Amino acid sequence: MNTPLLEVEDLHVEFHARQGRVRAVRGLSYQVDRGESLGLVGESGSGKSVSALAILGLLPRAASVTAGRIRFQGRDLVGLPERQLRAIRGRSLALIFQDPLSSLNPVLTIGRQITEQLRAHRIATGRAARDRAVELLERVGIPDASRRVGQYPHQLSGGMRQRAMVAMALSCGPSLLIADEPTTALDVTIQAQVLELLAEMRATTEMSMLLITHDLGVVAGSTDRLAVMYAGRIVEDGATAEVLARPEHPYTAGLLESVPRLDAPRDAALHTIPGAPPDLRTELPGCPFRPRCPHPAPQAQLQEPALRELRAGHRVACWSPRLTPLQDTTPGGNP
Amino acid sequence: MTAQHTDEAAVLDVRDLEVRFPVRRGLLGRPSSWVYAVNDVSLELYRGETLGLVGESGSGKSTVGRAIVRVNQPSKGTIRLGGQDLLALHGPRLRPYRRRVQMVFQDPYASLDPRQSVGDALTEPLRVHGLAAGRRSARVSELLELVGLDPAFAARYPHQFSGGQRQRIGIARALAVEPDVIVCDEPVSALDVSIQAQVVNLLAGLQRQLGIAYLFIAHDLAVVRHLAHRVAVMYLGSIVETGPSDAVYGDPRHPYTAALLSAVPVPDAVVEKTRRRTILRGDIPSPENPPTGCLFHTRCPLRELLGSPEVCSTQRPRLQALTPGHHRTAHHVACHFADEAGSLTADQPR
Repeated sequence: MNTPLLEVEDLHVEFHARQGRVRAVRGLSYQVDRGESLGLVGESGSGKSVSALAILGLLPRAASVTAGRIRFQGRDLVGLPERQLRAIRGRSLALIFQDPLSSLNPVLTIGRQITEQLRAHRIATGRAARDRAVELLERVGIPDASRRVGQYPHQLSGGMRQRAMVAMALSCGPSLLIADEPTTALDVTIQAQVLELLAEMRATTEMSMLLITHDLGVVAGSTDRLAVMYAGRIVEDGATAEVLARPEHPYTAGLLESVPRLDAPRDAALHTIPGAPPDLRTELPGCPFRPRCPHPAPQAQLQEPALRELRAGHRVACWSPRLTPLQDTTPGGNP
Repeated sequence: MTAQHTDEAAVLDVRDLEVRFPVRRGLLGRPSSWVYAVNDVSLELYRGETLGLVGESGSGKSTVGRAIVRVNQPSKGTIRLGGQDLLALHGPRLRPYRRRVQMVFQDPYASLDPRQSVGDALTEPLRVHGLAAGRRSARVSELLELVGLDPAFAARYPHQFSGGQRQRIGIARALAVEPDVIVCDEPVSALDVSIQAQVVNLLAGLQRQLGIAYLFIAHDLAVVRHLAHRVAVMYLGSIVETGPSDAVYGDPRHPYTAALLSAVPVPDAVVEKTRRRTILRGDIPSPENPPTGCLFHTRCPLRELLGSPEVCSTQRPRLQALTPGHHRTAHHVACHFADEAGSLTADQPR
């Protein structure tokens, strides 16, 4: 069987605000294969986190899935009753968030939060559950685990809390881990520890991962494939190494050029992408990136480009992709 | 200090700064113990120059900045601005000096009054310091143009702006009083990368145009490398390495700096998947109970490599010039084994 583990198909999510509806996700499609790690990259408001919440059935009340399918292990999660979702969530579909403090229960010990989960999913109870909790904490590199298991979240440092979150997420042996900005709140030396831990866990369990981040450096070392989101859609996807080395969408290329890098010579000025992302409350005629695009094609004014394959496995939604080498991009050039 | 960095004296000269906070209060509300957030920090800043102050949470970098603008009261040390010791001044006598050092914060939204229009927010510092009398609205337009905003925006309120625009307003407000020094505390870390680059370029352009000196406090090492002429790396309240950016980034001599640099991921899958990374173990110790000897010895990969020499845990290394006799702005390191640091950084991207 090679059906993908997770298949998101033409997903639409809308927020209903007083000022009108916000189309946060507008026809999003991607898949995560078994054992694979997919990076979902975008800036604030691109819809990357909203799409993850939709998978988990955790959208805020003001938001709803208005169209599309989310097939996980062959089953459509959209519209699934909460009781059935709950049986999947935390068991075969686990998640870690940016801020472990807001997702850990402050009045329960770390150990209790893990054993609770093991019991809820009928994996272990009592003594066995507690032993398993200690074992999990040890596995994620928490020193002195048998003591830590009895501590409360506030007694742990930020890095330690994120490790505890990873332990909790892994407790029921999930087949997919959704990590939403898992290291954004952490210091860089602690980030390196947590990324190493995630890589180690994936290597030993064959778990798939959906890594959501704004940091192109983080995806570089932690994912097999990469999807770049802009204004609620994927504008480019492909093998991580390929997309980073040969970006075809002007947005991806612009993002890569605007990040100052430690491994590159220091230029006089950073490249910038002029303007700001579009307002998703309004209709977007044509390509949503057109107002910021260095070389918009004439069609971009009329029609939003669909994602199409340029090279094997490398797709781009652009009327005039850069088609490396990058130097000779004529304004308005045809694809 | 006799050697000259340039022909002029430093605009800002901080010596032996110490900032402590009470942690527990005993009888009669007297503090029974202190936490030393900043220890013996010395730095100087010249006209038109950027000094990057980097470190992780709890390193004390923001406290240094806040002490310089006198939000936190230092317990020791001197802060000289154009030769005058700020810590000796109080009340009205401090005011003219306050004008000369301004601050830009991470979250511009929190530092702007939501009920005040942008024009009013920019007029306020002019009024307080008696500047541009009679031509204040013209000055407001000038300031908005300087930071790349439409002067018509003066009538708008903070919520009508995006994060990047609000940070431009925060910068305009700092510029309003024509300061010599701006303390920038994580000014771009809340912004998306495409917007971050715009603000970084704006700061660099303003410096070239106006000759302002920046103390640029940030945790993002790549952003600091891009903007700073010199850099100081802090760990647990002390500067462990400082010097010209090219020297510190290109040839880090403190094992903490080396580990910090090796932990920064770069957007290149080949580099990321092949390079050797120095992963520090454990967390930053609590400043309430700092390690003896070298502050970094509990996590130091170099100490481990050298077979845990005793000196690391017994003696606090002093910040010393790599080449003796050099000026304070030269490459300085606080490590007993600064000459061996190369063994940790053998194959990292430079």
